[in-house]
Amino acid sequence: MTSVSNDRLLSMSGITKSFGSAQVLSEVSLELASGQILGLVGENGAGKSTLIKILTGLHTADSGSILLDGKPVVITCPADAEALGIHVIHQERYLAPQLSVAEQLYLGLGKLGGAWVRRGRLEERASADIKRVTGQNIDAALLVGQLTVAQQQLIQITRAVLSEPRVLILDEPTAPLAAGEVEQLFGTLRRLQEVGVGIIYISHYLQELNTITDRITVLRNGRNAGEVSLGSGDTLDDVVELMVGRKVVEFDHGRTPRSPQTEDAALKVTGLGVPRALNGLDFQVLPGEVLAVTGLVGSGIEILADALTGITKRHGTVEVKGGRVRDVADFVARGGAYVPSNRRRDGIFLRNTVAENISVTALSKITRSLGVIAPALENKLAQRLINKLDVRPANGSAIAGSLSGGNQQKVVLAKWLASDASVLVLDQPTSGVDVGSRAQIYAQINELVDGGAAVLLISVDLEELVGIADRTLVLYRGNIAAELSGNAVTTEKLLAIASGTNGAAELSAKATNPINVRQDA
Amino acid sequence: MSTAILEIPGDTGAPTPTRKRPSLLAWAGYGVVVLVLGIFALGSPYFLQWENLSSVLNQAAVFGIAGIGLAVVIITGGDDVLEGGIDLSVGATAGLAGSVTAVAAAAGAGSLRAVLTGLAVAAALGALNGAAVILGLRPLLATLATMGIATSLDLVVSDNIKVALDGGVFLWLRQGSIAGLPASVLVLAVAALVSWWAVARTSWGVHSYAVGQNSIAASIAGLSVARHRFMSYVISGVLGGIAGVLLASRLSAAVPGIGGQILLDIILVAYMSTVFSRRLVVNIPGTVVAAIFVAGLANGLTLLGVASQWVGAAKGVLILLVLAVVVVRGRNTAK
Repeated sequence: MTSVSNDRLLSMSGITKSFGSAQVLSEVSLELASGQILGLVGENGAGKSTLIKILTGLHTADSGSILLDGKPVVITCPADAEALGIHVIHQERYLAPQLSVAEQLYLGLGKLGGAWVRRGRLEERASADIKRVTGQNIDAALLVGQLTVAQQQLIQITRAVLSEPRVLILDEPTAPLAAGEVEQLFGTLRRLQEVGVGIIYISHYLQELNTITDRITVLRNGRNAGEVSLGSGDTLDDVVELMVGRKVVEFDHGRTPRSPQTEDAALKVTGLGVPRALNGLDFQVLPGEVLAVTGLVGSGIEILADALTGITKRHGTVEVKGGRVRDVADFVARGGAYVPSNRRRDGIFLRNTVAENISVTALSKITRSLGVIAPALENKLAQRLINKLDVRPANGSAIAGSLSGGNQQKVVLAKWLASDASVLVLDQPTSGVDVGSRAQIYAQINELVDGGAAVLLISVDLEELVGIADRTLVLYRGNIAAELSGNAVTTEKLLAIASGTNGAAELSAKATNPINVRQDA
Repeated sequence: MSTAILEIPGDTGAPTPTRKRPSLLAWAGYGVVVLVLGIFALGSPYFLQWENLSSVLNQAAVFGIAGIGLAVVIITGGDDVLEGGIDLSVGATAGLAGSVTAVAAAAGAGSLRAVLTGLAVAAALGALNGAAVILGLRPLLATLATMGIATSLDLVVSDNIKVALDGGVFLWLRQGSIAGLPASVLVLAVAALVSWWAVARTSWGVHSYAVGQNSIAASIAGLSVARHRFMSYVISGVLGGIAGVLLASRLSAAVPGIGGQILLDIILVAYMSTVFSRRLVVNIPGTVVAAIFVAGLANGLTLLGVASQWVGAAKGVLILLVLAVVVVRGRNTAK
């Protein structure tokens, strides 16, 4: 435990919180001094976001106390937190898309102009403020929805700085930003640090923490796992070890790349384009291989799966096993399967049973004449897949919404196993999925691919890509910046290309042909 | 904290998009309106005569004023038809306010007291809606329930018979004018100006749009979502009440059950206002234009000699045409 010092700005202690029966935080504490940049890390689901939401009034803790300047404070709504000078830049960009940049920037800061809002003057001042804080030129008359994700992030950063915070919290602030913008952000943070603002910095990019933070608090499974001071001899490896609690061997890095059985593409994409997101991508996936696609937020990977399967309007052609796909129904009819990234919204029927969710793609197998469903056949089909994927509880009549995220994802995958799909598009299949379920999902993917299925894996989890992809495409601003395979794929290289920090990405974004890096083992 | 310390030297910013001129399509909504009204003017010379125009505006006043109230609710509650802000009780509230005013006037209360009584009842219904919504009830269902309450109270208050409303200020509302403008049009103009100023030119208006579009973003910015939503329903109630008094004055009587007949046109004009907006959002000037357009349609079609049983169908087709503009424009707008 950190010793109590006089310049202690914020202290949270004994914070406990459960949602329903799931305990997400138990007895978590956090200390922040003024003028300090504190890193807060932990795996997905470790409780970082919940802790921050408690600090900013979006959730209320079941127990525990928050002290500001040594005095206990009560925070029950976001306005309370703002009044205390606690400001946050949330990972989910909470913005109103049809407000102008200027309106969004000054919202709630009492600087809109009261009874007579002068838009022209407001926009001028907003542009100047954005320029001053972030160094970027953004026309403040634009609507928030017209900005790129990175620009939206810069608006949030500007707003937080303008509100003259005492405590500033940044939740994954750099995910959508390019390297140059990250530098700019760090400069701004250091200046805030000099005037005594306490900053909590949450990031998956450990290298960034090395650059910007003094001290790192690590959470694991909703508890304090430990503290690391990078300045005094500790290294990032110590952070990783605290995060995972053990040395993880999730993937077999030494494995040999698969050799596809045939050269006839199972999935062939030509000139796939979506205005302002994707600029005519060409690629193909062979039977028996995993092609991964990655990129930063804003590179176009968010929309790739929707465009490819035909949910979003697109240009170009998509062929599954030689047949052209016009819409999602076509895609599925030809043996396609789509596991969407927003599982709860797009992937699963939350109020239906697990068995109903699984059998929905295979109704013809479980119906008798006149389309009457035979419950016995449905249960048999569901039970077989529940056992195969180890869905818990192993009960086909459980309501899907009551399952954990990882088990819900297994149900989504089971649905496509039931349909005997052979071309799978998996969009962030393991996001928000616990480690155990992840391993099972990977095993299932490997089994399918060994059996001749073609898998397109879209993921921002670089470890995952390195672990199971045979080839990896990196998107940068809507173009394929590079294709990597074999031992050439490392997380560092992927990150460098995806974030445009290596010149090659910039270059190839302009050229028509992506660079090919191949160093097969 | 000094902000000067945050100065960043040099221009390292990447080129960023600048605001584009609104495309021609942005004016297509107005274009269709002008086109249709132009056809009416060519087809019937009587259409553009002042007498006829003032009768169109007279009809538009009722839908316009109640529509403005509903527009405020939709702005603050979000424009999702199922989950967002909606006030189905606005028609029934207008009917009830008219009946209460007429009954109070008949009972010997002065014009002013009668009107204030009617508006107080309307405001109370609005407050009931607002309370239900901030408790977490879905606006669509909560206001459906209060619509039933208001309709029923209307019958109770009026004993299910027409209650005459004439003389004094009510006669003036029906026949009076200032500088050639009919009284009801003046009321519409004042209501439109005040609410346009509040919604488009004050912080309150910006806050209302923010609350409606992303309530989490608004609450993170320190705004009280509940207070804004509650107030929007009270405003809708009061403006509905004003529309009801105006309608009863025009008809010289409060007619029981009239609320149900005007509800659909009120909802229509509020949602149709998005056609007349650069941002494709519900707005006040658009609501007024839509109210005039809808009133002008019925009038113009009748003047063109369209049989009265066909007026509804023709009106529906033209309205679909205008709404299609939103869909086409929406495709080209960033979401």
